[in-house]
Amino acid sequence: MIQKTQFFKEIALESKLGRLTPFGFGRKRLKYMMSVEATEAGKNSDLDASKDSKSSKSSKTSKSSKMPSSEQPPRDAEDLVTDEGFWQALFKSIYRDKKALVGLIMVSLFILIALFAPWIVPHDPYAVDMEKVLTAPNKAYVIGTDFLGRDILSRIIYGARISLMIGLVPTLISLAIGTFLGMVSGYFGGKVDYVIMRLADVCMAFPSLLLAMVVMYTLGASLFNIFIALSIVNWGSTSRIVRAQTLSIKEKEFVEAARSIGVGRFKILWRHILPNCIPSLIVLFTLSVPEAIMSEASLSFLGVGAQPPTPSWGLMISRGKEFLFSSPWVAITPGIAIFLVVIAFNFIGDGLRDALDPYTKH
Amino acid sequence: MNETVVEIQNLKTYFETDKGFNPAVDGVSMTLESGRIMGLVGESGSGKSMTAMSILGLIPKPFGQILPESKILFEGEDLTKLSEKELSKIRGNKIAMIFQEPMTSLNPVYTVGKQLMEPLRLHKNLSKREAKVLALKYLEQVRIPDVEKRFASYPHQLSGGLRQRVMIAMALTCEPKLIIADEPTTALDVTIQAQILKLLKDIQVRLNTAILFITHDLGVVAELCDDVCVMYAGEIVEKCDARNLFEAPLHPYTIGLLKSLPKINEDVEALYSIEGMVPNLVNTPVGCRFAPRCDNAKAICFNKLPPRIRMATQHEVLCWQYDERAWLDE
Amino acid sequence: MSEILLSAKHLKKYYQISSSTLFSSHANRGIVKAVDDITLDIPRGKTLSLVGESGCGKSTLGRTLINLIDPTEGEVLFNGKNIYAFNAQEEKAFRKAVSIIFQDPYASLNPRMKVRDLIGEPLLTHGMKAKKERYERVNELMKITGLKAEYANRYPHQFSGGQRQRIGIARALALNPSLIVCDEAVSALDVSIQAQILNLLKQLQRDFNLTYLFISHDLSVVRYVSDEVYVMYLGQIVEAGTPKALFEKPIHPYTQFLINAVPIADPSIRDREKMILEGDLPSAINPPSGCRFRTRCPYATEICANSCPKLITQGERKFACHHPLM
Repeated sequence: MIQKTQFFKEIALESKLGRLTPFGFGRKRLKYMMSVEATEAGKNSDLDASKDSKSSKSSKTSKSSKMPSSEQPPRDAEDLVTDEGFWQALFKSIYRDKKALVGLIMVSLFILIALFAPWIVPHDPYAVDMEKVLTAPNKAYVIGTDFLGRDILSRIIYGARISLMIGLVPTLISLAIGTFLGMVSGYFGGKVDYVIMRLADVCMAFPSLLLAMVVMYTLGASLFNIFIALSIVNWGSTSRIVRAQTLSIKEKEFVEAARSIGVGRFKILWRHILPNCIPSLIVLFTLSVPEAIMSEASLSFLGVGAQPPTPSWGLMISRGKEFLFSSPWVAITPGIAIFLVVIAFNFIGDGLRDALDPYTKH
Repeated sequence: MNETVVEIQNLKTYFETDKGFNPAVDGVSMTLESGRIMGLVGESGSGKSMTAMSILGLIPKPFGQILPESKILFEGEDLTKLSEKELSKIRGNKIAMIFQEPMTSLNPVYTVGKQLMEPLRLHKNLSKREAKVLALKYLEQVRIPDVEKRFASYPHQLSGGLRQRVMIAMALTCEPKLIIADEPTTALDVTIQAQILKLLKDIQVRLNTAILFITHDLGVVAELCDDVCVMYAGEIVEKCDARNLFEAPLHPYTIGLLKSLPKINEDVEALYSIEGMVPNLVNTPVGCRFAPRCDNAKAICFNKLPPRIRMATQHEVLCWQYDERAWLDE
Repeated sequence: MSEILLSAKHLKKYYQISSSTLFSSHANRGIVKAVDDITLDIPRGKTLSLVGESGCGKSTLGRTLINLIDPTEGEVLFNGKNIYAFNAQEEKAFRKAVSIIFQDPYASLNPRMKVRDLIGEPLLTHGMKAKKERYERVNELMKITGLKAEYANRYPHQFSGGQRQRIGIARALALNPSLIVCDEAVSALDVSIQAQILNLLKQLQRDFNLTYLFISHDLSVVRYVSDEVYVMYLGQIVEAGTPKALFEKPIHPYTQFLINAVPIADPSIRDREKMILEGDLPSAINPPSGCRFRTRCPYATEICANSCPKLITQGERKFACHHPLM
């Protein structure tokens, strides 16, 4: 009969002072405090004294020591505010979420590897050595060589650069397009909304991989065209989400307040609507990156993406599949790389979503 | 004829927050008697709702803890020590609750009738037909016009006032010993509020239940309640019967609150206002929690927690002003 | 009587409602008359209040009066000029001259903006581009409304409800407006904070010669702040007058019921004769014919069903009733 949301509203009300800890933190301290209080209360049977012991405890926990003097009493007893901003709070909750922290570390590693690839590769990833074709993993070639005798580890490290680029660039482009169109669509409504949403419908009506393949066939297979293909394919869903957000933010009083002082329509979009969409956009971004990486791998695997000899992970799997049984390391290792990167991004995405959800309701 | 239904002794409910512990309810004691309405007044954040939640054992566990020295005695049992399973037998059965926004406690996909019949069939093992007859009777008891039609309505088809009546009917189905009403009229218009208050009073007189009425509105307290507890920052600062509170308030907070109330039946030139704000409970001020906002605060008020002083038989106040020790320093 | 700042003439705002459910194909068409033929004058430097229960159209009226909602019919004169016929330049000047304080201090401040930018936004919008000058004015406004200057860099969620409402007031004052619409400006606040804000509003009115349109459902608050009170019921004005006259001798039965329903903080008069209005507000889509209050009115007769009573002026008072209580 009694719903959860009700409690949480109540809790928010009762302890306006700060967000409650996502569980786990400080439990020990509570137990400690409880035991301290119990023993001290036992010692002093006098009511005042036992209360005093409690007050000394509360001053222990308080950061600013309230001066108990007979001077001018502090009128503003509630300096309850911390200057903790949005990003600090965000980082804090990521830090607490172990899964997201693991994801963050893995992604940072991935980015570092991609940035410093030329300095850390053991061999030239393009160097063909027909004498060492399909060498099994050994000391010199940690995970072996492929059918042209190229070092697979070096190729995977270089492949990280491509995956990172594919993960970031088209995602950012499609996010920018989708956000702009979504906001305009949601805020202006009417015919503009209708046209933009039908366009988005068209984009979303096709399976995205299929649409990307069509674009790739038309434009020709190359890395640059993958950027274009993935940007075109993915803006639809972003615009839908942003539009829905805009519709709800538009009804908020602060937007009406801005209108009442005569702020222009695009200024309202930029100043009031966009900043309030940011939390969802961050989540959307981190969840779209692995999707883009997967799409690139799929396209390359199918032969319409990156072209040899580019060390793309998808392409490496595609080429390695012929030797799957004789030399499994050729196809499996880039597969593991894709798996790790995708799962790391998903961890962060989930963590961010959890962290931002209560925050936006705050 | 007034027997004790619930006795709360030294209830402490603490919450953990990012910045430390929030003693949302800190040492609350009160006795709820059958046939009496206890008003629990306070501003938002004073801990009045948390007191009610503690009685029902609805404190969300990882964040909130009822400290071990607290006692809530109900029919000889300490509710704070019961297991979740035992509590759920009492909750919604012997103790019922009415919320501010009935829409959150009514399930939008079932008709009013179905939701009313469910507990009847479950707890009392009635057949469908018997349950319906009884449910209709309860709806009539809360004076819902056109019962048959309302029985088949969905919650969203009802007005706010009617929904609140349905909630009261649901609370009545289990014939509770105690009804906890948490701001049940705050979301309603004044004319509807007057209807609901009258209904609650009638029910209480007829069924001789105890009611814990939580509100921020002193006017409502004056109209309805027999006894009053005024809460401030997690503590009960004043406790007495309703007439006493309004005629001879003792605690500076209560006095200030009454003076800052605009009156409908007289012209007021300038309202008194209590400066400042409710303190942050995480960094509770040492000494009296109201001292920083109090006009009569002395040195001792900032140093030591005030004593609980019993003036006349039933009038309790938590303030140094009424303790001779406070004057010795001078 | 002093000079009229804003006056509405036969103002109407109707909403088209069409609702059809999944299984009933015939659409349920109707018109909600949220604001129905309202004429009122707001004198300069005074506080005019609109009271009524939720759904009576008081907020819609308030927003229509400052052109945040387009009217269906009628005109509103601001300093003698029709606000709906303003050109772009006049519109801008009008936006400067009126402002609004909202009910919910949590929803009316953009959570992603700092206080300094929130209060500075109206200044920026109306041409105060220089940062230094703007921040100086913001500091001044914060001082006026009782906020500490060092809070300027904080976000709204770091404030309590009362402080947020002060931010809202500072924002509303930024452009030296002549009219401020207070839409339930103190309804969401606790009693002790409510008194602070009400006193602040009164203080500001004296200091800056402000005119308030005060919209509220709380009759006690209305009595405290108003110079003139208009009572609304289902989109129409049923009674108007000075607070003292209106609250002590209501003429319209609805006003009487409304006043009777307000709880009074005095248990010694708890058992006074109270008149409790039965039933709910009728649906605004199909309001009763004639007098809209007749379905709940104990004095209603045949004439109430047949003709809609006109708003009659008698001295300082106005009322629309066939059976006035006098």
